[in-house]
Amino acid sequence: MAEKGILFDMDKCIACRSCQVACKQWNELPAEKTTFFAAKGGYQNPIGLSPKTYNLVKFYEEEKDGRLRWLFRVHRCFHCVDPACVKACPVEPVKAMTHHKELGIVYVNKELCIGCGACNEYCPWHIPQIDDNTEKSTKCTFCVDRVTNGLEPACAKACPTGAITFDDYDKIIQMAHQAKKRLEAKGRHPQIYGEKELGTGTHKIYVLPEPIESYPDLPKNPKVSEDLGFYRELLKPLGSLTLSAALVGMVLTKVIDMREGKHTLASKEEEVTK
Amino acid sequence: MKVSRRGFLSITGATTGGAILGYLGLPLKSAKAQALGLKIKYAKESTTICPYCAVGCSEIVSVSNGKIINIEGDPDHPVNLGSLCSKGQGLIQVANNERRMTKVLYRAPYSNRWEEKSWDWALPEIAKRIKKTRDESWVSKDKKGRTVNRTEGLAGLGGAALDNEECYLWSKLARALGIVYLEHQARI
Amino acid sequence: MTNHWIDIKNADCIMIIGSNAAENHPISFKWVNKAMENGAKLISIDPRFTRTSSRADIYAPLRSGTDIALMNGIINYILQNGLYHKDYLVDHTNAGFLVNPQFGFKDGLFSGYNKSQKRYDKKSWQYQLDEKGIPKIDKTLEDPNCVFQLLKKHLSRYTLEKVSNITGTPVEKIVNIAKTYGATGQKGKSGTIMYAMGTTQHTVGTQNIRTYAMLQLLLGNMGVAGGGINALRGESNVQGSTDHAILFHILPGYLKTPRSENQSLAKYLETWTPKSNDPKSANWWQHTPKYMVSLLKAFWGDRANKSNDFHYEYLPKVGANYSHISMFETMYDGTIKGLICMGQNPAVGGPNSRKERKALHKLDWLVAVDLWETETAAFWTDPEADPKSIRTEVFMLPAAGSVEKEGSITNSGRWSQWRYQAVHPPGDAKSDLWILDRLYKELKKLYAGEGGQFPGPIVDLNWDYGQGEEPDVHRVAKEINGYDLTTGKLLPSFGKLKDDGTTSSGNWLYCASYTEKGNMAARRDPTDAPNKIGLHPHWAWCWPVNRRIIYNRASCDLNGVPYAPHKPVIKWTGPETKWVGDVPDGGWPPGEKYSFIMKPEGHARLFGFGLADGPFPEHYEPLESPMKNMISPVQINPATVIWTNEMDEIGDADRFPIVATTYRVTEHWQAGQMTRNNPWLVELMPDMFVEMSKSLAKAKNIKNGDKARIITARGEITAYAVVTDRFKPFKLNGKTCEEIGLPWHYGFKGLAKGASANVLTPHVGDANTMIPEFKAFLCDVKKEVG
Repeated sequence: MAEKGILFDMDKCIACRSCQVACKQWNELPAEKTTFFAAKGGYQNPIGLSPKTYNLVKFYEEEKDGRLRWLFRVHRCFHCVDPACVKACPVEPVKAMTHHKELGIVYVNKELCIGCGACNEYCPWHIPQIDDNTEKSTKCTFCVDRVTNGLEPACAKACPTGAITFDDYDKIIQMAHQAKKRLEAKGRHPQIYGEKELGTGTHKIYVLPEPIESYPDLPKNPKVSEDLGFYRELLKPLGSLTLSAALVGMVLTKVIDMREGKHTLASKEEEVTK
Repeated sequence: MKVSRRGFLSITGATTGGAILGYLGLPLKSAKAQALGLKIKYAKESTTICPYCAVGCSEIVSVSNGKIINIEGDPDHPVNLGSLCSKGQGLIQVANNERRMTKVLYRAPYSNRWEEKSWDWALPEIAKRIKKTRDESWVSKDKKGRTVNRTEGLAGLGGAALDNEECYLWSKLARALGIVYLEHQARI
Repeated sequence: MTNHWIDIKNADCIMIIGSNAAENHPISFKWVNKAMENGAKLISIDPRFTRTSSRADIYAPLRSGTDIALMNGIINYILQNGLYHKDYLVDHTNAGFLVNPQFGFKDGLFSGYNKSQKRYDKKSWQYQLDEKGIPKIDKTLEDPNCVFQLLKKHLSRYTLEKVSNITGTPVEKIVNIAKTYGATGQKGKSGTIMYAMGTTQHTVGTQNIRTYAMLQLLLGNMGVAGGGINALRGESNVQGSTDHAILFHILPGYLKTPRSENQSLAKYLETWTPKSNDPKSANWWQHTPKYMVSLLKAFWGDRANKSNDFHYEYLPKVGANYSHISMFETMYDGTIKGLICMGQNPAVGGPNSRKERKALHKLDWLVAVDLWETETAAFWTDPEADPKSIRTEVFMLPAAGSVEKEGSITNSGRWSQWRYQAVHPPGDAKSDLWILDRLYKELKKLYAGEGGQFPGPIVDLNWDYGQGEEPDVHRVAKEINGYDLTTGKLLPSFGKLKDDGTTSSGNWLYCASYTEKGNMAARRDPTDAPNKIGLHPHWAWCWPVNRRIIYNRASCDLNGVPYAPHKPVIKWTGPETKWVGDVPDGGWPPGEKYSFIMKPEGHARLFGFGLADGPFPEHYEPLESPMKNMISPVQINPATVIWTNEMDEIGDADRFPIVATTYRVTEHWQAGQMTRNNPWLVELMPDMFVEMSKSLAKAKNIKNGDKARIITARGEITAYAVVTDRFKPFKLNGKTCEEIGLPWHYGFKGLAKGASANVLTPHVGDANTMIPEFKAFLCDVKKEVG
């Protein structure tokens, strides 16, 4: 099977949020208790990604040059070509944060995951969310169970308007450029996001109909934290250990810090939202 | 079962050619599905039309052990081509929902609570009330002496959520009872 | 819809007005997007910038309740600038028909108005007839009494400035829309209008729709691919429930309900069967006797025969308007004693719902059949109600959901589609079919045993749906289709129906849906027709006779050549091979019959003399309006009924200066029970809210996320304030006018609860249909303290 990608042509999105519900159904995720003003952006709910929400539609209102725009963005894991979360995952020899290189999919192996939160810490967008109850990391799985069975991801299947398209990665890149041209011809100022970001790009490719400044919570130049390399060096001697009381020293401290700091991590996602 | 170009979760191949199936239960047994772990692998599938708006999207319902485990868009339907909106995509929570009414309930005059009842009790009781109201409010001739055979004491409301066959029987029964106050969502 | 969902892709321009299709019919945007990819322009006209507007090339705001002014202004521009399709007008519409010279319009009223009765005498609204009784036509469209000239004259008053002052739509936007949409008047181009309740829910709702239909006729957009006038229906089977006539004024198949004066079948048929002396008019309703007799045979079977007038006396005769508002007014005054409510929730969805809830208190008994404990069934638990003082007995019957039973439903594009049972209903829940069947059997037992008033129609009712636990839904579907009673075979189409009692059909419009070839609604062959415009004729079944685009004879000139050869609906290919493409609106060769076969004159009506409130659309203000009517001295629709009973208060602009409107959101559905009990959807839209402009919020000291109180003459509610640029104040003749918007999904029962917007709405309806004016009323807004 060829490397896969998902195109988010946000000009075509009508924010019906079927992708949000489709994700919950397929992944059997419960509803969150929300209130109307959980988040800025009016209709958005819930407030951010969480262990119950892997996929979220965000709303942006802006008035520019006398023209009102209501923009939407589907938010979730980017499935990086070179995923920092996998590098950061301390579980060895088989990583809990699993990289299906052939398909370009990154997903959590819940049986291995220790819930340390390193994946969130080192994700440029702080996407993975630690479930307090199960102590596991959670995020978009790219519907790896569907994709490996020849089905498209639930969100792409559900999307009524062609805003979310699943296909081979090279086709997705082509389609992104076509979509950009289509929007330029209409006098818009579209931007592709995900093709070149982080140097090697991501398997989720956005075509944003307006410049990135219109999406204030989306980092213009996403970066992997510089201490990832250092952190990985620290992990090395413990590579073959499973998580147990035997974990000592700096690594232990780092891991525990992150576990205890899980609320901070979750709120980081919120900050990004705002 | 013939698997269409879109892979499984697709039923078209089995029902084209005018075949009429009273109960469409098709076990999903493509080689692919058996080879890999997919929660709908052994589910029985049937199609339905979404109960929300009137676009009329088709959905595939997967059932396992008498319970719906998945509902998603029918890729062969020429209108929705497999896609759905958030409501249609959430249909499974209408079927599997503890808030559903599962008992006949009765509220007595001046009471502040429901009582659970049986159909065997409720249907004759309702029929008696319909008859009493109809008979007491019956108008065979209007003030001008014209035969009108109607009741203005009984009213019927609703039907846009019913199937055509149910609508027809409701319309027919209401007319047989002489109901003229017969209205539904189309008016509002 | 005259066309259907997929056909939207064929449009060169799409106007969405009175509809928020992206939110309420999201799948339609698959096809809107498809059209836009092919270069189509999207126009969104709405008081509020919506998720539909977010996709539009042109967004134009208009004040709620001023559609006619806007559309008349657009049509006036199109007429003045010659953008219309003249051949189409002459060949397919009544543009050239000569009207009685007595017809006139003065000071906001058409000729024939009776002030005391608030009704029009329509004598002067008729065509001039020749000696054979056929309407006179001037094909040059120049006669001063021809419809086209009368229309031009009527609309010339709707200048751009005047229209802008009424609607608040900027002049340049009106011109931009007129030019962009007007471009579909070119031969080969087509434009579609998508509308919904934003259009219909006004005291001028029918005339609102007429302006769209007239625009479409002027541009040659009816009957063509990518055209039509497309009502986006909001409930999965509201098309079918209308077709099967769960409405006081019609019988199945849009046959008229017998009136008190129609004392015999002969009298009924004479009154309601239209006549035409024109041999070129198909005058389809001339077949009324066949449809009516076949209906009576379906209802009363063998017992209905010629000697007893097919039991015509068994049908109730109506003597008044029994529509929704009237029903609840009568219930409130105590005349109605018992109500059977099949899956409707007027305590949330009805206009002036506080009054409608109160009306339920007056019932002796209520039967509510639903999947959920609705606000209607549980009206006695309303926070405003005191159960100890409410005598009404309530029977709450648990119903099966859509995946728990088998049957067909009809979508907005008139496709009847079969669905299957996937699981059993939960607990004691039963299908509505089962409930109706058992209820009938109980009633029959009672009337057969004890007698009672006029038991005939009940005991003689033709009712046999098998001996199984569940009634045989296929038997019902077959009865709807109808039989040749001589052979016992299912009929292939309504062309075979007879008026002599040898055929039956529960609904002539569905005759062809279930034939000897099988259940047409269950067909699943997605192959497109050879003309490749997305008709998919072998998927499910569509009324009438599987015709996917109605009025399709008007897609061709009088030689049968399509105006748009690259997207032909039908095409004449000669006397041997005849028409190809869609099922034509009658198989006659081109030119032999007129194209609009349902009208006795065979032409579509730019001049609509059948309406209660005028043959041309005229702007009147909503019942509650912040403005004096600027186009005439007549303030509101002069043919509308206004109730002035208890709890029917009407607000004025001094006390209530802000316009309010109601709408739906994508995440909820209608009166809410089907979504407010669904945790995932509740997560998305948990609470009741009110949307308002930044300027109004500032004036009222309300911040985004505050609670606001909304007050009308009928009640008040609180809701979260959404302060947004998507609502902007209107500039009306120099005056600033604010408008707010409220979703109407919420109520006091369910997983997500909230105030019901319909507590605020008035009990007043359209002059033709009595559809309530939910979409424009007056309110005041305050910050909720505490």
